[in-house]
Amino acid sequence: MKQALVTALLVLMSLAVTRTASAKDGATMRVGSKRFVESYILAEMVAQLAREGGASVEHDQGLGGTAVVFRAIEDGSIDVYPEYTGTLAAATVKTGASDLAALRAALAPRGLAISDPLGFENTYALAVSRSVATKLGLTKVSDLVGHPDLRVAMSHEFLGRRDGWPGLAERYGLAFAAPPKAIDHALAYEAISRGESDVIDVYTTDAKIGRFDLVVLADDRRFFPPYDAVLVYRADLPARVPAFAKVLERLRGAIDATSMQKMNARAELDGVPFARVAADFLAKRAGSAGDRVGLLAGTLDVVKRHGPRHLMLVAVSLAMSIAVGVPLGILAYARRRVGAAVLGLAGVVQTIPSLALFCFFIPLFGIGPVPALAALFVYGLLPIVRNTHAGLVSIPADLRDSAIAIGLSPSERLRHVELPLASRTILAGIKTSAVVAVGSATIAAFIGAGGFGEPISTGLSLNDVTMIMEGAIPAAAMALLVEGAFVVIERAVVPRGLRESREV
Amino acid sequence: MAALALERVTKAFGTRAVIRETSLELAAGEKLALIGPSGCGKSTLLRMILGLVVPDSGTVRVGDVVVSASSARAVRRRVGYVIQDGGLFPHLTAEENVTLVSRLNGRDGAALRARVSELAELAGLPEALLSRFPHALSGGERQRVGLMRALMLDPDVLLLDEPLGALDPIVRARLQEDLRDAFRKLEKSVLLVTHDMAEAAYLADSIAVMRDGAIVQRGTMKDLVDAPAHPFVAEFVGAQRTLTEALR
Ligand SMILES: Nc1ncnc2c1ncn2[C@@H]1O[C@H](COP(=O)(O)OP(=O)(O)OP(=O)(O)O)[C@@H](O)[C@H]1O
Ligand SMILES: [Mg+2]
Repeated sequence: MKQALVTALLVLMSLAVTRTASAKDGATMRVGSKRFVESYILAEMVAQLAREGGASVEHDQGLGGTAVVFRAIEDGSIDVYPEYTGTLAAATVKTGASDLAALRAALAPRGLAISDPLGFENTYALAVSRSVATKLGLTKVSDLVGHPDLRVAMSHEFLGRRDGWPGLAERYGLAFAAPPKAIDHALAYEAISRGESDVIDVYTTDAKIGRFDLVVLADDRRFFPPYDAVLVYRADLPARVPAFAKVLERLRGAIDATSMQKMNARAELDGVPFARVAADFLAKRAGSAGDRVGLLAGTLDVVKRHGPRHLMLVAVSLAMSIAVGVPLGILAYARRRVGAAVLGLAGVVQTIPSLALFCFFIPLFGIGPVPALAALFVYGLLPIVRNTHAGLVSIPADLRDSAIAIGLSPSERLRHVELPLASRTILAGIKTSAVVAVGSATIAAFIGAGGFGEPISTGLSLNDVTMIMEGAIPAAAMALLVEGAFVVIERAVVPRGLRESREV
Repeated sequence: MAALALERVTKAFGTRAVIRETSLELAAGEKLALIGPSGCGKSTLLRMILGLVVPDSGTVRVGDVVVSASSARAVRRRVGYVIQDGGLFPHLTAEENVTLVSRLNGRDGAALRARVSELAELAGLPEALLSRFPHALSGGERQRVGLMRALMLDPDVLLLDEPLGALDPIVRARLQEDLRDAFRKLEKSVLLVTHDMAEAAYLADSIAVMRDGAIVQRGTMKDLVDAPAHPFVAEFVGAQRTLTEALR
């Protein structure tokens, strides 16, 4: 699912739909991060330091891959995010130049600036398990040439990038019997430790290199450009948020590779929250590995932090679905031909996978809660339209005739007879939409809308089941609560005579 | 002037002619029973009067108003309509069913209440039942509420489509009596569809026998028995066995 999302996002980004940059209001600084631990931690450091300096800061965690995050900073959805010089050179700027001065010159026209290096490099590398390395005598990438039987598994991003696998394979003349398998980076280590693949791509600050006892192969033909960690920020940010200028100073050369690797290990392997890891580093605390909060405490924290946003996504989108869906259902009932068209269209929309629907709105509304609301709204329409129509159509003919025969006008009939008679069915449609919205809203986090999906998507990218549960449990609980709420709502909305007779 | 007049109306559903050029007049205060075999078009004729079915040709007049798309709503308020099982709205109480249109027209308060009491008395419905929902009423009680609703706006014409069709004989007999009393008191024009000759003779002044979309004879019960205009009439009248006959 996540892979489909990344692919869909990349496709959409490459559509290059222009959206006028809308700088967010000056008071708040928005920090973005990519969807891996190191990016979260670095972004968290930036956010915390800026907050300390008095700025109001929002951290949009794990917006997506490079293309998504870079697009977000270009259009001003975020103000700053952690990046690597090599990535900028190849994947975004595409000048071929990789030194900082050239990159700065290339980004300046887009209103973007690059900080001084943060102090460590996180470059791509290939790694093999120690047993394979020993058996075949592998120490460097060029050693792979004589072993076409090795099974290669690469992250999606690495497989697709010019400065990733295609370029590397060309430079070294690598060819394998089986084409490289695309695999989520977080799962690659599991794959290699279970012996399902032999060669994977890693980052040099990856915590798991040590844990899984992998051998990193030397880049003996110097294919990978330098990947110095930097911050990319909107050029006006230091002026707009003075605290950020201090952040730049504070982080210049402040993090060495070992520190970064340890931080990654604490967050990724020991489950310490990113914010904590970042705070401990900034406070020069080593921190301990065993201070992970329990599932219950973690879940409660998630409810507190993400609950209001999730509820907002569901409530607002549902309100819109009702406001549009019920009238559409009535229209479909009143005008037979329009009805067939409306129901058909709504049915087609429903077959679009929710993830694709979410991505569909990104070119229109950018990233964040707005496209998520639009997608949830559209998704919530069909059950409401369909049930409104079905409820009205199923009114017994003699009752419909009676309403006409006693001399009610069409609008009086609708209001005083038909809608009340259809109310139970309509409400059932609304309930379906509400429950679906609670579930679908977890996907909204993948496009940066927040909610309970945030710990889920982060947990997925980290292969951290506990974190996934911390998002999934409150989402499931909210779905149950919504179900329960509708028992009460039905009592208030469905006329007593109908509830008692249970006929219509 | 006739209270109700159908002039050479016809109606076909698809290729099937359901009403064949039929004319029918009902004088003010006249009570006519419409009888005929199932599917012969009785309900369709009644629905035509209300504008629920639009005739393919011919005209329908209620009083001096020709029924059309634009006049139908006004006509409906001058015509009461009672169908089998009352056609009551299940989401409204008996009283709300009766008063719905009046309330929407802004009538409220003591006068409305008094009118409901008066109708309950007329229709023989205990007032205690007025606050019940239809599902909590018996078939006969529902029918009485249906009658009250039809009479609420004091219509000139009352159309009843097999109002007692679904009732057991005892309740039916009681309701027949109450209906006859009500008809006498109200002096309204009544068009009553029934399958029961005895009921027709008991409640109406005259009877129209319908067959296959057309009225074949109209007259008193005596006329129909003594001088059937068509073998079908004789057959139809003869098919109604009397109790004494059954005992023989
Ligand atoms: N809306 C309609 N569309 C198609 N055919 C219809 C429609 N309404 C009635 N009919 C047909 O017209 C014919 C007459 O129907 P109608 O209901 O008037 O009969 P009826 O004399 O009232 O019969 P019953 O005594 O069984 O109530 C029937 O064959 C019926 O199937
Ligand atoms: Mg009928």
